[in-house]
Amino acid sequence: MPIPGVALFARPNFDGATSYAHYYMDLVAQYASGNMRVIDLDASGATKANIFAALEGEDPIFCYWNGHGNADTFSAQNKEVVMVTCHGDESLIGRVLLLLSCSCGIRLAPSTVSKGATTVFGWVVDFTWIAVEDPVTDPYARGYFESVNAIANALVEGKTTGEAMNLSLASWNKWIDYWTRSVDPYASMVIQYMIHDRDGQKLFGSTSARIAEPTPPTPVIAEIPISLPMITGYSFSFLFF
Amino acid sequence: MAIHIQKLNRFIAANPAFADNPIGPVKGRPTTPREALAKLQRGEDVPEVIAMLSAAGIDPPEQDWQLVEDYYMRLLRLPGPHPKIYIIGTEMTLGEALLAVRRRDPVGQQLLSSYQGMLREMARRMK
Repeated sequence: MPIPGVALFARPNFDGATSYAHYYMDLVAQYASGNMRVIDLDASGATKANIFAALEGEDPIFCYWNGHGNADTFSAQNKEVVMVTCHGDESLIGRVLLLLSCSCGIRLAPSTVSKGATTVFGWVVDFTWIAVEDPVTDPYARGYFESVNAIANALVEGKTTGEAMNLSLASWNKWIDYWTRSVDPYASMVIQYMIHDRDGQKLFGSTSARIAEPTPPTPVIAEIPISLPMITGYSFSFLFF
Repeated sequence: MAIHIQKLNRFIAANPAFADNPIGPVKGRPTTPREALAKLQRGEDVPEVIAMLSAAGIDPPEQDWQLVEDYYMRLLRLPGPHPKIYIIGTEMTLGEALLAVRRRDPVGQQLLSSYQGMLREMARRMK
């Protein structure tokens, strides 16, 4: 039986694309560590052997993994295959999985749920974004990853998987509205792929599962005038800690 | 015609990011909301522009291929640095995206599908 309050992050970092998820997942890992025990398999540590060892040894209820994928395959550091449809996905029984990877929602995610995973968040499209700078400073990439991180942040706060999905969709919509009002010459590109990723984001399995006890609302001393897209991810930790 | 001018003015003011995206063809040429507005204001190709606006977001796929190709050509003409398109595990330049659209390969198909999603959003906001 997976252990509530334990999370396993796998965030490869071996090319331009993985460097973005690697950076943004770090923000969630830091946030989650305030409320959960986090095992963070980072860059060269994000191997198949380490992932399965952590699943067996730490028995996390929540897994947030990034890597290259397709309809039947999920891979980690240097594209090492971690699981394929019907092989390896049975190791996720009873867990909630956020699989930030291309097209795994087509067959791998439903298969994983059919093997007993409680909930899998995945994409039925290739997860796509645009960027012009490195992950820390890029203005375009932020909304994509904050919208995905909204799922993990909500789960860490004890919200249900269904609530987490809805909060993420709300985040996508806020960012789409934000960029629609922008006069940045590349704003339409940002919107195009945000719509693509939002519409391709799916929840498989239970919508009522939780990975942590609900945390009571933190008392807010004063209203902080930050627009809503800012209030996700790492920004939470500045607000509440 | 006045109502169409008013609608386009409102759409462009509220959604500046969409103002220069090809939304449909007028006399076979991909046309953006801003170009459509200019034509209406000049009284040029009025029936064609109005017909194009009515069909926005529901054009046949062959027409959408033309729009998405024109879209990437317009992006390539913008001043750099141009953003890269990232897909987990890979990345491509705007020029490579344009080539994929011209080849109509699987990547081009995905780019078309993404563009169609944006066209539907533009049409929804234009109503």
